[in-house]
Amino acid sequence: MKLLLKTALYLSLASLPIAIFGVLMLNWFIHKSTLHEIDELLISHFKVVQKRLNEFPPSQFNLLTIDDNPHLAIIPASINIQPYLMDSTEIDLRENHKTAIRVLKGSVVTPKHNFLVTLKQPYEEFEEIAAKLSVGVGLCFLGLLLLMLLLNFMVYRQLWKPFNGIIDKLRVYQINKQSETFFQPEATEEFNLLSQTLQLMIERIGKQFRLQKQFTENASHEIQTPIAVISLELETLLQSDNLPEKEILHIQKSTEALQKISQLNKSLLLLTKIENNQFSEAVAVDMSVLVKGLLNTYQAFAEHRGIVIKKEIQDNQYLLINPYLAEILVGNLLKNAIRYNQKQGEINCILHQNQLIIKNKGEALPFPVEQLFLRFVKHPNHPEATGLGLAIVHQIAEYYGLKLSYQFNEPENEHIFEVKW
Amino acid sequence: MKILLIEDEPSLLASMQSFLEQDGNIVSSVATFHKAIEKVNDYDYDCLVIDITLPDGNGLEIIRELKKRNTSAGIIIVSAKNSLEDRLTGLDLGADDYLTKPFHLSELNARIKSVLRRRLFDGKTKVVFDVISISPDNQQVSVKDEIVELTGKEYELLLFFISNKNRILSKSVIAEHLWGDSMDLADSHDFIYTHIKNLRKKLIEKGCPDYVKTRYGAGYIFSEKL
Repeated sequence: MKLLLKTALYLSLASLPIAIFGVLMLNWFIHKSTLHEIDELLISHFKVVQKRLNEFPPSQFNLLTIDDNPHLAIIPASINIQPYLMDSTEIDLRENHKTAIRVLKGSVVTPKHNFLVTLKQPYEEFEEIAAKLSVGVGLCFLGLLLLMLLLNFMVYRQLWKPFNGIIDKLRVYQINKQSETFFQPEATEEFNLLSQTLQLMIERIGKQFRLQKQFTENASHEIQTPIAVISLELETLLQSDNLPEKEILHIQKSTEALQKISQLNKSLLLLTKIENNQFSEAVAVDMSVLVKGLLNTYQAFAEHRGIVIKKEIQDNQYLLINPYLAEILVGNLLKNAIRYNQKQGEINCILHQNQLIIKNKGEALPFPVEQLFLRFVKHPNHPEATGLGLAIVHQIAEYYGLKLSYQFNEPENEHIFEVKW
Repeated sequence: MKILLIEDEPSLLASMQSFLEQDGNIVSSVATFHKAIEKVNDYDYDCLVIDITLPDGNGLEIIRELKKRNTSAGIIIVSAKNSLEDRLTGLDLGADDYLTKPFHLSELNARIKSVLRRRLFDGKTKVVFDVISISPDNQQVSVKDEIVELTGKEYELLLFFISNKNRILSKSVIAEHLWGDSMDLADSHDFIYTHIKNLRKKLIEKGCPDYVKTRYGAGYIFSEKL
């Protein structure tokens, strides 16, 4: 959810109860004040009536006033009612339904009679005013809220512009393609802090990265020379006369292990180089020529394993890639297809419409599919493999943005590798 | 043949020198750029093996120097970097071949011989081994004047054997020579066995003695000695 929406939501959520409560409180307050004022009015009225009754006491038969307010009745002198106030209802002739009224009753003793005076004051209209006022205030409040949200929406874009700029920069940030000042100073203090902190961070990371890159490269290069020395020494040793069979075998095993180290070293260096974008020159490589050539190279080897290679290759399939990496990409996939094929198996190599598909028969993977392109994941029956071939394929595909996918066709026992561009 | 080895790692230098001397070559060796330039100025060599990364200079400069004097010597670059740029620059400058460390002595030996054949005899001279005769310019092999039909790989294998006669060649060395990086070690052992078997068969059919001896599990020796 966007920060803006969240702010709006929280603001609305917080203001809604305040609005409702406020409106109710206001309504209640107006109601109370109205009642208080009406009561005062009634009491003054009562005082006036009391005074008038004492000055001009009406005759017994002339108690009716025109609007029956006050309503007078003669009660026995023994009953003395202190004035009291109460709520009641009365039919409103205009609206023809019961409306709330306030009533004051009290006895007034005059020398002639003891009167019961009943004073009425309808106050429904005041209540209506109160309700309208409350609703009006509530609406004003909501209007204000809406206005604030609207303002927020309008200001938001402008305020967060630098933030979005920083995010855009972060998105394209690549550790190995870094210019000196990646994040510029910002006018807003908070964003400036963010920008400067990020700048410091990427500088630190960049430095670490360069050191590590240098280490990997140096280590790989420096290892090559001692490996070369051991290799030559072993070869010289192998040429000595009269070596017993056992010693020769030891030398042979050492040589092979050494070659594996060397191969691992080369593969890791290759991976590092791809990661570090050290293969810059991409040219349009005609993949059909490349694939045909590689199929030729591996033809004899496949035949030797009793594997039939079927190919469907469309001409002029160009891919923008470093030629050396293209060869490794296709070569590794083909080698894999031969190595993990079943006996008397078959390979289907299809190249058409910017898509290379290599299928080979064979048993299902002994490990989860997600691990297929990871480094050092090997088939348990092939411990001698480096476990880097497909990792390199993956790295190359990723570097050039090629879509690399793998599928296993269970009924056919068929592994399918696909590279799309 | 007179060969100059330029390499800063003393133990590599010693191994290469003794290996090449066994073939009857006259081998000199230097470990620094400056000494190499001196040697190149003072003497003529048939072949130079040059390490690119020297402590006091770039091996590519030595090639430039050599080319200035119009030398006909063969040049093989040796480098710890398997870098395409170095390789291309080296070959552009006029080097004949490029080897990446670690390499096998027998591989170096075969490359030197191949360079020398091309350089000194324009590939016209025949490589003769007992009754086998090879013309490198048209890749033709004959036994007692009878042509033997060999596949490309079998031809390379035979030439490699003859270049390194009387030496043990392990399967991995042979595999690397024939397929380079394109074949992984583990895949290739029985594949090599098949190639060697076929080559042997073809040679024996033409009345050639069986020169290929198996040395236990280690590899093969190509030798006239029985």
